[in-house]
Amino acid sequence: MLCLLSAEAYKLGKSKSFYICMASMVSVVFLMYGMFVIADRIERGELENGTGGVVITQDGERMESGGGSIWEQVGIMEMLSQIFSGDLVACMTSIFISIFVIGEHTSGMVKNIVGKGNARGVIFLSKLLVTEAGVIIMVTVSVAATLLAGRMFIGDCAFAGDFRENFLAYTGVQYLNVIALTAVFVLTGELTRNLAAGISLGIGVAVLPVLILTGLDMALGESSISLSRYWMVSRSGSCPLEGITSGYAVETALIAGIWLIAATALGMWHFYRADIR
Amino acid sequence: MEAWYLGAAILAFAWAGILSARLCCYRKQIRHLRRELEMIEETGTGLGLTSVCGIGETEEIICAVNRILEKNRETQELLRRENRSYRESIAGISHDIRTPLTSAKGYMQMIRSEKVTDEKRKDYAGIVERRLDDLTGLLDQLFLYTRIESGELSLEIERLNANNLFAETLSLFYEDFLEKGCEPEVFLEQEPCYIRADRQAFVRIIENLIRNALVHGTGGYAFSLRRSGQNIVLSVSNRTDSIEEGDIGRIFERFYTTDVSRSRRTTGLGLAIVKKFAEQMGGEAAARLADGLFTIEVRFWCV
Amino acid sequence: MEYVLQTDALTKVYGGVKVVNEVGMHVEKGSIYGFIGKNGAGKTTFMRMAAGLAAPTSGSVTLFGSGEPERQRMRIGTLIENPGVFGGMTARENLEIVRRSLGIPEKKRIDGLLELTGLSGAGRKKVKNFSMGMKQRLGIAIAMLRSPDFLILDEPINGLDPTGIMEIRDLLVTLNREKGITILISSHILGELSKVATHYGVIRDGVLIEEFGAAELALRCRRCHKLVVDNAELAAGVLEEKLDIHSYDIPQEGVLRVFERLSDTSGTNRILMENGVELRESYLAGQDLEGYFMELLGKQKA
Repeated sequence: MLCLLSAEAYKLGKSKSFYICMASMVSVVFLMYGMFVIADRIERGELENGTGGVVITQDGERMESGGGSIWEQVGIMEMLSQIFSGDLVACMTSIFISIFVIGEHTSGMVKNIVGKGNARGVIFLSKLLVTEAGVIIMVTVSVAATLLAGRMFIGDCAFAGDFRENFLAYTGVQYLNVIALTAVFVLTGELTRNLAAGISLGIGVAVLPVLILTGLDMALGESSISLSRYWMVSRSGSCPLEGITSGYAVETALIAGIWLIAATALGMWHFYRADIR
Repeated sequence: MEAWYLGAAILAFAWAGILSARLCCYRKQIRHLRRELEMIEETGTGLGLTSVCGIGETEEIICAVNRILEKNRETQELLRRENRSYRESIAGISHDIRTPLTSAKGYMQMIRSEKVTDEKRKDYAGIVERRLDDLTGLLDQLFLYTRIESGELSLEIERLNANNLFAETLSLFYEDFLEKGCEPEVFLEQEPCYIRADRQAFVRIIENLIRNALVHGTGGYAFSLRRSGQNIVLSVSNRTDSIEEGDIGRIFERFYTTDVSRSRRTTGLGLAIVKKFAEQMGGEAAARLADGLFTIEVRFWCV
Repeated sequence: MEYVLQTDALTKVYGGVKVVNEVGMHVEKGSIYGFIGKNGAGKTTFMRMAAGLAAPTSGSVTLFGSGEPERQRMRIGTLIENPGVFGGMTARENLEIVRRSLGIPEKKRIDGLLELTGLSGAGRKKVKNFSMGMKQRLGIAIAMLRSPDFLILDEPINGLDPTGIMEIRDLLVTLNREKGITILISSHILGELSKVATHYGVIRDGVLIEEFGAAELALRCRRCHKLVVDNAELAAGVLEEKLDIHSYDIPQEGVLRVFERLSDTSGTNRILMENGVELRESYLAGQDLEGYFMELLGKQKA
């Protein structure tokens, strides 16, 4: 097992998609900050809206200078929520995971490892573990970038108040969601074993269920059943920025745990059973 | 002060954790090695030992054991090959002795029977004699080969006139070629070629090459002795239908004959002796096949 | 006889078609087994089942005479279909991945294998820029990484130039002779196969038609005067007595293969008939290997 992990880690280290996905996530973070910096300067009347062809609208209306600073409304937590509850993390991790997991099958590398003394279940598990580690590194780097950029653009005041407690609780909960989601993406990759199909299915899984479940929730609005409570992407979108209770955290952990175990078990079963091409 | 205690406690726990993890790794590695060694013992596999934890010092030990295993495996393989070729040799020798002996015995029975005329009897006796000559020849070759192989035979390297010896030896086979009904092409350098060789060995090489050509050839015989730089190259070629590309690599092996049924009374020793002698005299022997023309070249050093 | 690979009625069904149909193969220890069949005859599928990449629909695989193939599989090196390598990495990096995952502690093995397969010059070149032949060599290097006892190579000389083919051939023969590695090798270049193989298996439409040794093959391909007669014993007597022919055999009832007097077959026939042997057929048989295999592969189902 340790040998397989070391080999997978080596692959991760050499995997271009890992660095590219990480770099694009970080650059999206800075892009968002950049946008807000412009908005901030317009808000404060330092810059005419429309300078350099950039027009910023707010609720459908052209933004005008209003005197105050935008950073009074938008802080690091709001930026974090942009990363997690938007589809950024879901899409990027899905692309990275699809390439990392499916590359094994399309290149045929898996043939060199299956049937060489390691049980198939262990092979799948080590792949999953290293993928999880890779995703956690990616997300951590983006979170760190968010903090760093916040320090750069907003200043020390961004860390004031009960920021620390909120930040830890929020990222903790979101990490749980990401971990479970990763297992689901590994499963879709394992099931398709085809790069194009894997990426489309992955992004589909990241985007579609949220819409469908929201629709279902509305349809079922009469009764108190809310299906979207049980899907990680929906949950990460609706996760409150402040005042996360321990009850909410436990619920998240439970749901994430169930998804994680179910996806892993299904993936292992498929990997164990399916012939390798 | 409290913070200090807390820090120390955390450090101690961390250290204990690392140590116990390492201990687990060592134990796992040891169990793994035991299983692998058992498998090697049980199946005689050539697999090396593997590492499961990547701990430096155990990896060094594994590498060292693997080197021993690898050497062991090579020795075993060598032994197995030697053993097999030895068994094949014995089988080859028995076959080669039995064939002429059986035939001779058959003719002896006929000689003893009363119905045969005196004239026939003489013929048969002649055949028996030839069979016995074959046997003597075979035993000579065998004896010679064993002596070369064991290093008992010491060659007396001297300066020889290769042209003369070559022509002399070739002429002894004149009748055989007449019988075959074809005249060999012979080429000799104008000026005498002096080589460093043992007289008997050199003659034996020529004889064996000619015999080989007579047995396997179907015509197109050509013999030459040419100068090529610092070498004198003795070349014998003939057309053949019994040698194929795949045989070329093994043709100098002892007891290798291309004849599956071994009906042509070849021993498979002739060319093996040629090669051994050539090598002992610092030369080399090589064979090639092109368009059905089979050629053997033996190189000697000029003086 | 000790078998490295033995299959019993091994069958694989894809979409209702028996791609491999009750194959019973026997690969002897220390042999080089040439596996011959047209494209799509089921060679690759068979090898994938032997290597544990695909599960048989029915039948069994026995490796090294042991009932538990999974445990024995680590003793096999495989190159099946295409070498499993990442195009974006160098040869060395690909080998490093496999070295790590198999837990081989010797880092130097990689250098040795690159040298052995003639890839040490490839340096920092990425595998996607390799020629087909170089990829195949890398595949062989990967298969060799854990000094296996048994190599399963599917079309290893595919895409190699003549010198490359010769090098790989020599490499395989050396491995077989010096390390005692048993090799199962499939190829459609029959001439090349026949230079290394000691045993052959011929597969057609998923059915293993025949298995035979190299000596048997040589005998089958030997030029001979083939005779189909009513009375083989009588014919044999006539051959010995009247024609002084002793090099012949009787492969099946009523059929004689005569290896002498091939230049005067009509004379042989005449003398046989004069002595009361009724000839049904008489022809010169025996072809080159390629022709023989073609005949085998093209044979209609009985």
